[in-house]
Amino acid sequence: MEENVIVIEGLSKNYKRWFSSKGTKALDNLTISVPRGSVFGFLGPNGAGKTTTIKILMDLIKPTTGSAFVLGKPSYDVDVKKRIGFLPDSPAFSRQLTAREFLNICAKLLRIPSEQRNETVEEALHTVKMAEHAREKLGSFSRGMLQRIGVAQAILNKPELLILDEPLLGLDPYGRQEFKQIIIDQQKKGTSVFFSSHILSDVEEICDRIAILKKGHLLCTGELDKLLAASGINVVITPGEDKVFKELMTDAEGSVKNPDGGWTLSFPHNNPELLKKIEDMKKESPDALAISASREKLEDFFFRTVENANV
Amino acid sequence: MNEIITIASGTWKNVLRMKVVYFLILCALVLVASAINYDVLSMGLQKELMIDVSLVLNSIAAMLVVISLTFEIPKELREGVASTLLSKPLGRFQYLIGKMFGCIVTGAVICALIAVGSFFIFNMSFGERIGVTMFQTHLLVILALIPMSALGVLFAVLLPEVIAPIITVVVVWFAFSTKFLAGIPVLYGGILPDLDLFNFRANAVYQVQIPWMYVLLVTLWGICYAAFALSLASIVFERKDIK
Amino acid sequence: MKRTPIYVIILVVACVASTILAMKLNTMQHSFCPEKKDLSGSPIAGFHKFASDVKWMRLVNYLGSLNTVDESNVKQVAERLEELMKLDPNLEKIYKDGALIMSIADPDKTIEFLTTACNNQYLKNNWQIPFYAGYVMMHNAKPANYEKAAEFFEMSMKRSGSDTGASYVVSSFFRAKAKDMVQKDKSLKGDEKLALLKVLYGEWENNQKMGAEGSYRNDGANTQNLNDRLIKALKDVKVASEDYKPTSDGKKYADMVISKVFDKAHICSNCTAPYDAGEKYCSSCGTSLPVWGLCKNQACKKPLKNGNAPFCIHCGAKQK
Repeated sequence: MEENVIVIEGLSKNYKRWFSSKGTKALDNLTISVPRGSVFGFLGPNGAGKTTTIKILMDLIKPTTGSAFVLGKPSYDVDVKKRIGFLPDSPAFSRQLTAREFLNICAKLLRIPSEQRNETVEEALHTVKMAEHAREKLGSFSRGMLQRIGVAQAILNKPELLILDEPLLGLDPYGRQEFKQIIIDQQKKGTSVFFSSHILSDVEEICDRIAILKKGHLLCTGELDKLLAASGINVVITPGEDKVFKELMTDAEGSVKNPDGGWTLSFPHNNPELLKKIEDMKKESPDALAISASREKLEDFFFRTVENANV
Repeated sequence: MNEIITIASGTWKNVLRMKVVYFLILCALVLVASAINYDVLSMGLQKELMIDVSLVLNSIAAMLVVISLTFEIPKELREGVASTLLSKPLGRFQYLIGKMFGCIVTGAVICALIAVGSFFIFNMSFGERIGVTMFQTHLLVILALIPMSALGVLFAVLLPEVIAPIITVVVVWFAFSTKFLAGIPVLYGGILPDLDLFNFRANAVYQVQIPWMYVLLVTLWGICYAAFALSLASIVFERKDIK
Repeated sequence: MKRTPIYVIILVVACVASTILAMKLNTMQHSFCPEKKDLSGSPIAGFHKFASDVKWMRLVNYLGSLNTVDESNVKQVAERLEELMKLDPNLEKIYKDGALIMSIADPDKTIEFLTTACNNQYLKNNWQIPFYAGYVMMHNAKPANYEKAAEFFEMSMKRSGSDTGASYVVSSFFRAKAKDMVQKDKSLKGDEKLALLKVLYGEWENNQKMGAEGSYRNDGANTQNLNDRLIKALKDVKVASEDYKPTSDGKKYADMVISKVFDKAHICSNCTAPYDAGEKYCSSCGTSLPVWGLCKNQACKKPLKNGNAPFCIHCGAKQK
């Protein structure tokens, strides 16, 4: 069994316009891999190339250069899609079909045996809490309900890999909560999840790996804990050590007064001189301060990474 | 094959559930029935007129179904319905052929309803049995859906959403007038279709029977032409980015 | 797997197969739908028949708005009919109702339309159209072309077959032939009655030569019909009327015809009235007649039943 469910190597996509030699570069030499069993958050501002990447993975868009492998097969392999669940960014389905009929069509396309089909469809409807709307036409559904049906069709085949493009969009807080639970449940069942989202708090909550893209360039990728841990340090100053406090205060990114009267100062990790200065002070007076790694919020990490990126 | 039938069934269910379709069929039958009132104005040709009107309306219905296909495919591509379907183990060629089959079945059902309604009205109006030729000509209208749908698929894939239906209508319209190219092999019947091969409305009126061998061969031509148009569409569609 | 090469192969094979089939179908189509090649080339999506229906109704409407079809509007009527013919050459009404309406104002155009209709494959069994063409040619065309008219009538007769309802077509045919003969043979001095007799006799001779086959007029009914016509023609030539005075040439020719055609028919050589067995004088004109149909028994010599009974009803003698 492959170690990575998704392997993207040097992927570029240039959208060419008719009558124009220039194009829009949506992806530029993207290389990432998604380990099996992980929940992978694919992040980036609008126009970063998230949807393009996902659609290349689903063979909906052809890459200009590079290659993408899903579950060990090239992304254009039709049969590999039997093992994948996919939710597009704005799911739209045939308006005249009922939810059950649509899921039945999807089940047929997923080659689920006819004797299991009804049961599978019902199970998916229950999972997304849409069983009571099964006979209603999709044309009458709200955005959130469509999103749920989208999720239902994505999990119909009990996929090895779920690829979700902005799955939390359009869901109310309850829906989001339920959806996050579905992802967690899927992961528990052994499904790898690759999804893009703008809702960073949710990503932080459920993802164990992330990648951040900006204008088609990969800014960073890796385990979430490592990325956020490496984002800076906290220095706790013992009460009464005002001299140390004053000396470090000017360079600190943030300061919080502790209940015991001491201070907690936070510093970025990308200033080696400052880090050396702190370490020197620690050596001089080990009791005056304690150093610990700070876990940055994903939102802060995201903005810092995106804004500092030179692309 | 199952995938093709699945896509086709989705297509025909989608269209045949629209109430407006049945309203239009009813309108068509009212128009057919109204031909009986033209006895004076046509100097006794009302029977011939009724036969012809039923065939004309059937042909227009077939054309409308094909046009609806040229709207539906780009719409599905734009709205993401196609993305959802193509994310399943379904080849793009299968998707296109499924759409074409769906269109043919939809058209066949609508045309058959109009034909049966027309036969009933004709029988009630003139007390005459339905001739073989009348049946054959309506059958040929339905069979014409094969190359027409393939053309619809081709243009829906090849052209932007706004232009595709217009170009399809224009091509289908002119495809009835390509006889003058009959001396040029490959171009005639191969690249440019001759839909007039399905057109025997006058035969229905004059009760000139069409050989069954011809019906068989023209069906075969329709299938061959559809294969040509679909493979061309597939070459384009395989390279197309689905937004 | 990249499938493009497969699609290219399908595309080429399908294209070649389609073009071969289309060409074959095109030829087949012309065989059972010959009018297709003459249809208007205007791109109307094959709605030629429907367009013709609409145009026909518009023509009827237009004709209704005219008091008469004369020189002032015949061109427009002809144009409309021509348009109709290009859309639906099989529409009988174009010729039977449409073209005839302009037969007085423009007989030549009418004949042109009717000639086209005569050559139409679908209307090949229609005997009325050539009859109308002949009629217009004989009565309306200026100058009348009787030879051509006769050809049309002959076409009509061949199409009508033994349709007894169309006996006036045969009359018209002989009349046209007679008029043609008068026009060409100055020695007839305009004697149409004699010309008709000559035509009919010529026809009778032809029939004799051709035997019982190969002629539309050779079936029993028409032979009888031809005899009746000859008798009437003989009478017309021999008997004076208000507008006709028998000529010696005419009488001579009539006698010759009677001797050739009716030597066994027992008709009065003077008035052409038939007479029965045993009659000595004509009941119509009193002319002395050669007696026939008597019993061969010299003692009896009474008329036999129908003139040819095998036994005499008076003496019972067997006749040879």
